[in-house]
Amino acid sequence: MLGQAALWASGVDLALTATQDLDAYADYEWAVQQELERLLAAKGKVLDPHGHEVWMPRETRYDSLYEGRFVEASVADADAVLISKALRAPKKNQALVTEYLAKGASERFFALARKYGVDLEQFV
Amino acid sequence: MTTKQSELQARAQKRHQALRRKHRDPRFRNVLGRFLEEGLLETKVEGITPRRQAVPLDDALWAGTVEPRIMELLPAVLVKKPNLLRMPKVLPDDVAEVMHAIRHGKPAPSFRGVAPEQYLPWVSEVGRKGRAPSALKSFRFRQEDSRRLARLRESLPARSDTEVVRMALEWLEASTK
Repeated sequence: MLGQAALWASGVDLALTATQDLDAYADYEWAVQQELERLLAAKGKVLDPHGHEVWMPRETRYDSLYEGRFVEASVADADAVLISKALRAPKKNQALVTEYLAKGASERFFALARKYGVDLEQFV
Repeated sequence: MTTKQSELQARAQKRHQALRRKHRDPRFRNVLGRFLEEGLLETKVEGITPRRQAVPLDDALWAGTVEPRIMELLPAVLVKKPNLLRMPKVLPDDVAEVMHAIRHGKPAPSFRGVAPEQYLPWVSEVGRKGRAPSALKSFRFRQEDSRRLARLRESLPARSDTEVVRMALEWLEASTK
């Protein structure tokens, strides 16, 4: 799970607002995808067909969210998601990154920002 | 934390305060509450409650400058769920233009900084799911074409001439792949 949904699931302390689409990297059979889409639809959500195109830093950590007999789900860590947003869609995510900086961003976030050349000045 | 990081945090805190003030603005709260009620957005912004009353379009356009996800949904809402909004007598030109483009399948313009590839996917998700607005197209048929259309409508059977054409197009596309 990536994007805004990942931030939501990780419980990060930010005033998030999210649309009802789910970005995800997925490696699953068609039947699993169908079931995921059905479960999402029951909650009024949709799987973003372009979710797999989301860029994530190589250092992204994926924490386990669900471990079933046939299916495992994990969620990208908040620092990596915010770096992805800051780099690829800074305007759309300006308020989010500003809030994160204001509340005290982690050392890891700063390190990732340096590595990927994210200009944090644009958020303050 | 380095001096540079502390300085960034201090500046971010000032900017964040300004944003929090906008989050307290009744226009923002009402618009977000309306979108929340409709299940279009989820939010963790403090104190936002679902709201059933329509909100003025101007307020929605302003709220969209505070939260870009509102602006991203607005073109779809304007066309598929306009009852969420109270429309002014005269629509802003760019609003009228984006509505016209969506309704008539014309090339979609950027809308207040949101690219069409960001807002168009919501057109089929807002309101009746999977339905994008149909567009009017006219063709000049010969009499024999019209008779063929009528025969096909009976024999297929199809609910309308449009459905016959739609079926024929799907079949033609599938057979030429």
